[in-house]
Amino acid sequence: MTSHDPCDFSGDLPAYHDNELDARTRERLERHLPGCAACRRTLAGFAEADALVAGLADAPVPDGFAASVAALARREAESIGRAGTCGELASPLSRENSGDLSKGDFGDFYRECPEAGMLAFFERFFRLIIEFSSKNRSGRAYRGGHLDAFADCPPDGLSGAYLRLVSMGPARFAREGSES
Amino acid sequence: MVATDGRAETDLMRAVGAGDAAAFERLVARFQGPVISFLFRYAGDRATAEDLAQETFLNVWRAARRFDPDGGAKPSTWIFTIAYRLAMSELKRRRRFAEFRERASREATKNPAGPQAPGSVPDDEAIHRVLANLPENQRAAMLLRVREEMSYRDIAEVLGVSVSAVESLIFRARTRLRRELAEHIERTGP
Repeated sequence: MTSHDPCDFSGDLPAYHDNELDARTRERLERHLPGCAACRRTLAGFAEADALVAGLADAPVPDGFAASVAALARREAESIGRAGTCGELASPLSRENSGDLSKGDFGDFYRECPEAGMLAFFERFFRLIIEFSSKNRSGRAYRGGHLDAFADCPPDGLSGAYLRLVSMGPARFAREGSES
Repeated sequence: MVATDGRAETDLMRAVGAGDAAAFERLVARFQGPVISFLFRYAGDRATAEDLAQETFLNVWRAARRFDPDGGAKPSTWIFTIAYRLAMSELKRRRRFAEFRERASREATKNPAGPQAPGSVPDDEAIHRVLANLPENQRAAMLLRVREEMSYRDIAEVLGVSVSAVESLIFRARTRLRRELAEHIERTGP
C-alpha cells in the first residue's frame, strides 16, 4: 500500500478515535493497527489536533456573572407580572397547552379577552416559523424561511404589537380572573 | 468540560422550569464557564461571548418549562443548542468575518492563561487563529467534541445535522487544524 492508498479501515478511524465505533469493528481495527503505519499516523494526527484544542485556555467568567443574569431574569419575570417565571405562563397558548384553559373554554375566553386571542395568534405564527425553519416535511433542513429573515423589517411592528400584548396580557387576564 | 452529573442537572432544570430563580442562578453558575469558553472560541471575541452567554441563559430561563427530560433531552445539550444557535445567528447577521478574524487575533493576544512559555509552539494565539479560520460548523463540532467531550449524537442534536455529518465535520476540522498549524510552525520557525 502506498501513502495515497487509504486502507479499508481509514473510514473507521475518526469513530475509533472518538470511541464511537461498535465493539466488533473496534476489535477488528485493533487487530489491524499494529500492522498499518498509515492508520497509526492518522490516529496520532487526530490526537495531536485534539491536544492542541483541548489545551486552549478557558475564557474567564466575569465576576458575578451568574448573579447578574439571575437578577435580569427576576426583573424580566417581575416586569411581566408573574413572580418567578417567564411570560409564557401568561400566554394563552401555554394556558391551553398546560390545561389551565379547558378545550371548551377557548372560544369564550378569546371572545371575552380579544388580546389573548391575538396573542395566541402571534404565538402560533412565530412557532410555525420556528418549526418550518428547522425541518420540512421530509425531515431535511428547510432553507426557505427562517426567523432570521425577519431580523430587520416588518417584525419591528409585528414584534412591537406582540410585546405590547404580552405586557398588557397579564393585567387583563388577572382582571378577567377576579371578575369570574 | 461540563460536569456529567446528569440527574442533578435535570433536577435543576425542572426547578428552573417551575420558576425557581435560585435554581436558575445555580444552573448558570454550573454552565457559565463551558458556555462562555465555547462562545469565545466559536464567536471569536470575549465581549460577544459574554453577551451571547447572557442571552443564552435568559433564553433558558424563558423556555425552561418546555425542557423535556422524559423525551431524552439533556440540560447540557439543550443549553449548548441555544448557545450555538444564538452565536450562529449573530455571525450570520453581522456578516463580518474579516472583522471577526481581526478581533479573534487581537483577543488571542490577550491570552487568558497568561504568556506562553518560551519555545512552546504553537501557542494559544496560533491555535485560536487557526480555529477562527475553520468553517463555522467544523469549528463548533470540534469544540463540542474535544472540549465538552460530547458524543456524536449530542453534537448532531446541537448542530441540527446527522451523526455521519458530525463525524465528517470533525474529521475535516482535525485534518485542517493539523495542516494549518504545521504551516504556521513552518512560517514562524521553532
